[in-house]
Amino acid sequence: MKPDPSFTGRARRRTTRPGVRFGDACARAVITLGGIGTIAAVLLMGVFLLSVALPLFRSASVGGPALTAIEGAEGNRPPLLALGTDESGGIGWSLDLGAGRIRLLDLADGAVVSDRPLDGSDGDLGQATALRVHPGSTLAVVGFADGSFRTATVGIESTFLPAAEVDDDARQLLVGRAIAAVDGAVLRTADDRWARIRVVAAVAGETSREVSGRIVDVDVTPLAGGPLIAAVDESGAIRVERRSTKRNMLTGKEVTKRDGTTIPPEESGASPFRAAHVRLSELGDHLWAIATDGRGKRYSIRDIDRPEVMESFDAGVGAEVTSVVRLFGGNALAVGDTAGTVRVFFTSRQPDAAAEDGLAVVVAKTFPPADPASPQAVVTLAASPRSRLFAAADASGKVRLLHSTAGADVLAVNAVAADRLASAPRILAIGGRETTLLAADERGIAAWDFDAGYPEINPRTLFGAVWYENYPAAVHAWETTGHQTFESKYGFIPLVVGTIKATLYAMLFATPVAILAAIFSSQFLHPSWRARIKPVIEMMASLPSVVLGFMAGLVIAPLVERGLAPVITGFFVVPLTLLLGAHLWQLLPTAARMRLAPWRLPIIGCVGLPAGSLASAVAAPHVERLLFGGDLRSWLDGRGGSGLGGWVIAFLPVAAIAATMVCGRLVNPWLRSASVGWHPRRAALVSLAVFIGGVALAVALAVAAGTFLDAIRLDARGGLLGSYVQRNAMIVAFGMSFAVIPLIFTIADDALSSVPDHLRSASLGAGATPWQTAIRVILPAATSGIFSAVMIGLGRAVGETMIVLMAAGNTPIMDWNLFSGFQTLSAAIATELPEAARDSAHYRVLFLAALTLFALTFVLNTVAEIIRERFRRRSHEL
Amino acid sequence: MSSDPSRRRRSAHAALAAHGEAWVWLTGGCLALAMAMIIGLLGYIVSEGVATFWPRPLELLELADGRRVLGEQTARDQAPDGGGRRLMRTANFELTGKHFEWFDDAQVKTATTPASATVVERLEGGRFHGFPTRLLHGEEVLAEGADAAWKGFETRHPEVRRRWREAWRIDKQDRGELQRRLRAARLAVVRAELNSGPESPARAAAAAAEEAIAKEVAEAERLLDGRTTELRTANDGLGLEFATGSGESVVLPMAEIVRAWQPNRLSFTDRLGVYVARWGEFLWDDPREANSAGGVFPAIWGTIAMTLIMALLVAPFGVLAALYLREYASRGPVTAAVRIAINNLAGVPSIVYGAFGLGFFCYVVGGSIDELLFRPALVADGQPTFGTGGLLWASLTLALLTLPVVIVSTEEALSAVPNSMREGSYACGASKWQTIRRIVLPRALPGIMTGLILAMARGAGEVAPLMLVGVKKLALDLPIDGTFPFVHPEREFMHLAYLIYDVGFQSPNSQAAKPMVFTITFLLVAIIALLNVAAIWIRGRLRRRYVSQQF
Repeated sequence: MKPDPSFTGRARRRTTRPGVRFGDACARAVITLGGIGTIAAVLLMGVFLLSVALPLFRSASVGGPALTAIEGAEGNRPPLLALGTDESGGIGWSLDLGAGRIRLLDLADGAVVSDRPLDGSDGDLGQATALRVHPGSTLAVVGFADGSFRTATVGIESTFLPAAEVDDDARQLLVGRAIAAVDGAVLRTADDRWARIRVVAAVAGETSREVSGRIVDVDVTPLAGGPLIAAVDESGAIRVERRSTKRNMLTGKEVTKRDGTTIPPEESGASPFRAAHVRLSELGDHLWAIATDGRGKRYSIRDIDRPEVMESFDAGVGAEVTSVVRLFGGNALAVGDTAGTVRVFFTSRQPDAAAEDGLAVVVAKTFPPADPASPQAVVTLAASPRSRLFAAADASGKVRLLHSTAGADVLAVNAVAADRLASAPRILAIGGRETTLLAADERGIAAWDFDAGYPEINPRTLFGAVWYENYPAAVHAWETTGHQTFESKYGFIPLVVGTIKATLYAMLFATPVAILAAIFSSQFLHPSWRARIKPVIEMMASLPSVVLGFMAGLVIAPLVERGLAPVITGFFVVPLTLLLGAHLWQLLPTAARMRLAPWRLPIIGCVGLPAGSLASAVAAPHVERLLFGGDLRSWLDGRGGSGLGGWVIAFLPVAAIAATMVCGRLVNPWLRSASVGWHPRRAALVSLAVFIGGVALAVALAVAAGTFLDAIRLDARGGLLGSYVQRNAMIVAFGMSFAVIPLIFTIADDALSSVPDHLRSASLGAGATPWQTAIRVILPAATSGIFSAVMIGLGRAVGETMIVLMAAGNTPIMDWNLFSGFQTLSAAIATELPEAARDSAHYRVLFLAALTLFALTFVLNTVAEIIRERFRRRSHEL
Repeated sequence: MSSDPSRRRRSAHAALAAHGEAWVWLTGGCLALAMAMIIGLLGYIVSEGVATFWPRPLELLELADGRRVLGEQTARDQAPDGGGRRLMRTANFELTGKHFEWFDDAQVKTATTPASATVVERLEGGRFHGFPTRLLHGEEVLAEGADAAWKGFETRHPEVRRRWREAWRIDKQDRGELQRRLRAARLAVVRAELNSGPESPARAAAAAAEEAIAKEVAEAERLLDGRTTELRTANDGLGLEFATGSGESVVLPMAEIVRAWQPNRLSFTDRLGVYVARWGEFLWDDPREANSAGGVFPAIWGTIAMTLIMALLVAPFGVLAALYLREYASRGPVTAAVRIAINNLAGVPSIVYGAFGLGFFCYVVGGSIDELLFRPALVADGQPTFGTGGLLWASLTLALLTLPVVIVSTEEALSAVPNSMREGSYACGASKWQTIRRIVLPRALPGIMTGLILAMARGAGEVAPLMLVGVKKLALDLPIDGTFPFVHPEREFMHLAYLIYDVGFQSPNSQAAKPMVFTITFLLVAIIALLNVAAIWIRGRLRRRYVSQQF
């Protein structure tokens, strides 16, 4: 078809040029892709937070066992074993004193890599009757049949080989496997290096021969000067000894000093106490001795020469004790008994403690038998050298991993089966990075790879009270950093309480101020004023929270600390002054009032507020004297004064409402009929009198209620009021109100002023005053908008970080005291996340906190949005 | 009037109550309170921030117990016993062990303002107050007497400072450059080893190159050493001897003196000079004394760099998402839900974005980048390059944080473009993209700019997420500087808002640092206010344009 000539004479194209078509398609693709991608990226956040936090609740998993069969012990001497692994968990070692052999095992398939006899250099280790290796080190102590005991070095040594020294056989190894080498093995580690592994087993220290019977149990803990050792012989005699090595400065010779005491076995009584297990606390201040019949004694050995019995306790609870292990950190014992129960004991400060040091041994955690229907005796226990995880084996061969902080089972395996051990394990070990579980009987060693997950975290430890080591009772606590053996406390509740406290107090202050201010600005303010004031308040919303936090923490906090009484007084006196001002205003002639009406705000701001502040400053000393025994701060600390003051403060708002109701119900109807025909000034005077009477009534009511509660010995201190610290919830509420007021104000003001004008006009036209219109017509129409404003303010307050960080003192205390510090979820994330190791329990718990905040604010905002949407539709319908 | 029968029936009290005057006053009080809060806060910040650098007179107090104290009055207060008391900045921390001291008025016998009282700002140890007595060069006395010594100091000091600055610049820039070269060579060796094995020729070549560079660097360092030694020797020995208020004599090395002035004899213009000079140092210099003195230039630079990169990241993506939502996506419940979700994300606490930034950007993305591209650094000294906080991750995190704000405001701007304009464009035969590019976007641009500027204002003041993704209390290596490749997205940086937290709450001497915090706060608030005012101004222009150009 020939194109029509246009009036310019040039041919006109009727089709779209390919360039335009292409551009359009490109733009559509790019915008669609980019838009969806961007939106997806933003929404990805929630998914990512969830993916980091969820593994916390992953259950533990365990792989199949690798079994090593070993020759039975020669002769009929019961074998004595020590077991362990290297750092990576790839290589296991066993010290078999019955057979007198040292073995290295490749734990991937259970193959014996090296097997050598104990030789002369190992000393008399082969004759040992008791052996204990300090977890996490190679320090050990061995006891012998003749009552002697010595320190020893037992364990695994691993050194990285320089690349040049790796021989060809080792180069052929798969990652994680090992081959034999001179006096040990060579292992190819996971990070692709080669490590030489050697088992050391050598008796080292001086021999102690203070007890005479066969040594049945020993324990050792390293102290600063040297090891502290405890041993018990078959007669129940206990020997504690501290070795301290000093180097002579002149000769350079090392001299080992031995201090110690022998505690003889109890002789008197029908059933004398015969200790069979001894355990030292990590710091060497306590010695626990436990007899087979379940009786236990705690000795204080602060003075090594004079051990003192502090108390006796019941470790078996009716059953016989079979195994005792000291848990990581060295403050708690796990005790297994013939009834199949494992209990965790530690000392804690108890009010009814009989011991003179005020401590008492308590049963903090009880792990019932795996199968309560047919309980099997616990045969052996082993603690992890890295955390409060420990393993327990019962007579049926079932091995359980337990966690003492969580008080929960982590996982269980059956050690006795066709491809496993033939009899119940005699000894257990947790090795690697808590990745390997070893169990051994006389004829075999079984090894499992396991992943314990995060055993210390479960909903109960997060949200329930947990009895932590050395605490007097179960508590909610958040404490995540400490020394190496510290028991981390991941109780969420103190942070949640702190968050709620910050939000609650901030909203209590900010919401009324913001909404009332919005009512005034939308209903009573001249539009030209409003156009100027609104941006100023909006500007307040964009002030960085770090500035608000700084002002709250470093400027407002010291100011309020010095003038606490005027501030508290001001909460009541300033509104009263304003009300009084309004009543005085009513005394003005109507014409003057009408003329001055646009100037009400400056009058209130420049006269009312300063007058109120002045009045509070003047009244404060009197209030302090009358209600708080002269000094508010010491009253809050609980020194001096009666409970009256606190109750009066608490009841004054209630009493004010009651007084208003009395005036509204009783006085006003009477006045309304009585005042017919009065001169307006007379009515104003009478209403001023009624107001003053109402105030007096409110105060009287509050004082009456306070006196009554004080008389029945109730005190407001300890609940909502209490000791004052400089950075507290009230300061946070002030600081936060700077952030929240503009937010609520802006949205509420928009909601109030977007109520259709015809409603307002109709109401005013029907003769209602502006106040009546505002309260009876505008406010109800805007309720949902205001509600959504409050929700959005709430969302901001919940997640606010810097203000809380700087003005709340950051102590995770759990109380509702207006004057105490606290820590919130957000502040915990801000301060602790940079230090938390990636993928550790701490890291994931903080992500859980972030996820909580995310979900909470998302829900709050969605609710607000839906309400606002409904409001918008309704106001269209109006 | 009361006899008028038409008015007799009206209840005066009911008429009064209907106006609810008391309640109106209460609402008015709340608005006035809100206004007072904001004005008071801003006024306080401005007055404190502006006054910090103004030289104030030094007072010599003679106390009843015979002590003489030279100090600057910083606060007056009611003493617990009712009399007045004053807080004096007494400085001379190394002598007295305190920077500030309270004095009751009753304690003070006389207070004078001697002309030769001098304030010294030092490199270390805080301020010093005293009277100059002698100008020394080693043992030699160059000038004696308060005025002569001061005059001598004033003539020599600029030269001393110049030498000090040069030595400092050599240490920081030239030596830093050499160290960077050395490290690059070392990393090259590690890279060669990783790529081609420990005994490969490539590694040997790299090792040889490293050796050569090490030799070169050592040579260059020797040259620099010579120059700095020369500069430092020239400064050595030059000192100004002071007598403190209590009469002790102290010699301050002149190179240690940053600035000194005698406030009591300064005229107004001189004061202004000191004031401007101190502002200049504040704006252009590196911080000293754990950030509590000196300048905040690295923080200003860091804030600007981060905010700009954030804006560059957020603008295209925000506009793309808004264009998609408004112009391309089909209207339906899904779009509505997405819109609500995006609206809500604007309300998610910033710290949550910080946690996400650390976990996702730094650890997941940065960790992968390190594994792929920066393995040598990871192996050689265990230092992550991108796997830790840095400028890029901070900007990305804040971009994500401000993205909802930009999307929402852009959408609003797009929907404010009258549909009639779009229809007109279509009617003229324009395609959809042509309409958007030529008609819709130009009209919406001011609205988009407003949103972007507001987002920048929010980003500039946000600090909680930055604490997790790359802000450091001290990072003098600027994230954007003159060394190749000019932008260092992996570097950690300083930020004004974080400086407020750090100096205000982590400083060992918080009382002395407080004025500094106020100045930083003032600066930050000024920047943000400027951005806000710009946004409001653009919004105003936008409205005017639409009023006049509506169809």
